[in-house]
Amino acid sequence: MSRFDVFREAGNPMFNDNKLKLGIFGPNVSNSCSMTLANTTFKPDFETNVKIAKMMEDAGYECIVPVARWRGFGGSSNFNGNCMETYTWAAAMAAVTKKIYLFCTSHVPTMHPIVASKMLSTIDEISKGRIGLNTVTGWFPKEMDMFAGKKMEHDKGYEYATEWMEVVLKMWSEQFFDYKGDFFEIKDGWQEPKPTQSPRPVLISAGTSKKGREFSARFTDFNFGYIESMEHGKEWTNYMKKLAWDEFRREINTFTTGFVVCRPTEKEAKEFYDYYVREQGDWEVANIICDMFGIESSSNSIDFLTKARENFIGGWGGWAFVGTPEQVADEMIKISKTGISGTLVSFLDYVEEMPYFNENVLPLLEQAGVRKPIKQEESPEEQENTNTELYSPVQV
Amino acid sequence: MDKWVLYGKSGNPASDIAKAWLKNNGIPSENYSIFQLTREEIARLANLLPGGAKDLVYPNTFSFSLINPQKKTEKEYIHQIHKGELTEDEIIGILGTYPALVISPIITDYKTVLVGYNLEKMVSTFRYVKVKDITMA
Repeated sequence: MSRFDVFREAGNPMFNDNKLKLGIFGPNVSNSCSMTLANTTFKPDFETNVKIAKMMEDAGYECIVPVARWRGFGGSSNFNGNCMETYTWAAAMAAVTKKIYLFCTSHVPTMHPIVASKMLSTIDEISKGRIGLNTVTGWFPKEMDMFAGKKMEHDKGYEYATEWMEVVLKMWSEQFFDYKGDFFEIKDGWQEPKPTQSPRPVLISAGTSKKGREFSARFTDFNFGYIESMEHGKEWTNYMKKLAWDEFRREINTFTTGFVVCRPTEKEAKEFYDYYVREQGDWEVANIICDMFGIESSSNSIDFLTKARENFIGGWGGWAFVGTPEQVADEMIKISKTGISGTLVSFLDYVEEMPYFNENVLPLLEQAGVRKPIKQEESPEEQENTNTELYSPVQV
Repeated sequence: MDKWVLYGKSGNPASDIAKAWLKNNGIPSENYSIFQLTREEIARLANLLPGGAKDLVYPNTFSFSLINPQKKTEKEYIHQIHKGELTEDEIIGILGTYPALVISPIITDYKTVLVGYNLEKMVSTFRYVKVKDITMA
């Protein structure tokens, strides 16, 4: 039995029968994924997160991935400046949700692996096995510098992350072990409880560099990334699967992200996009972020640079799901056909916009066969009535 | 994954303490009664011990009687076993018939065996214990 088979058999939502898994990204940070000053009722507070999570559970979404952020990016929106820390967020969300799979996003240089492993096991207990780990090495210099200059050089960051992950995996699976690496020395490592999940909590990581992809192929179940085109999505997925198998004899899936502007007509969707991206977009912070990613290069055309910034403003550089329900569903079906396992989505205003998406797009995805209809749970009264009908004596 | 088995006896404090140690130190184990030991299992355990099957047996009738006050018949075998009057096969046969002669607890993964409860030995034996299989392909 493979690792994925074990996850499936254990009923892990990240390995269910839906060909296209759905989740959301960054409900724990201000603006979520939209770098804009446009009006929204969205607040990165617990009450709003619970409301969103309940909507998602009712609609059958698979997961929520929080963003790990320690400071905002600046600009007039100070994008993501107000942020709920992800481990404590996940613990709280675990206590008030029943089905959705949660993740902690962890900057590995900011937390000792023993602490991370213990916290994840604790949340695993609280959530009854619905917690996974998204590892990040830390790429925002000003943020990592807050930790007294912890921003490591790129490749060294992945060497550190490798040891970090090895310690976490040992804490989850062994007792009384010693470990000696370049960055960590563990004496008589021990932990209870171990996570209950079979085989273990789901691991994901992003990272498009060679080292980032190798790390993902070696340790994780999903490589998380952005796609530039459907062709790119297919190539990336095939590359990661081949890399993980050839180098490490492991299975891996891919997961992407996008932002949704779904309206009854294409005109309305495009107008709203123009409003919150072009008119109200925080272009300052989009420039800051594009500079950090090295997108501001003279070899790129003006159109490309503008489009890149718009995508960042729209939803953190994710795929643009803009249009009518049919158009949005069509794009999602295309993504599924590339082999990508799922996509996170973000909305400018989750509470206002997600119900329309759920009611109008999800059924189309079900029709297309990329998602299964959600089985509604019977209430205790309904269950009792069903039992009575089954076992009532036959009248002769 | 390492699979540990404890063969104990109810009412034997050493068995209870060993069971508690394993549980509280996060070592998953299956618990069986010493009376469930089969001849084949006794032979496997004996193979792991320097002195063979006699290392499984109470050292004297006094310690045996403390744990098994009601049992009289088996006591006579203890002298014979430790005096070297019996072959390995004969000892294994006797233990198969009278498993009460086996010290409890026995803790084993059938690669290592701990006879009786000894804290120091427990601590030194349980190093690098794999308790959950998370690797796989």
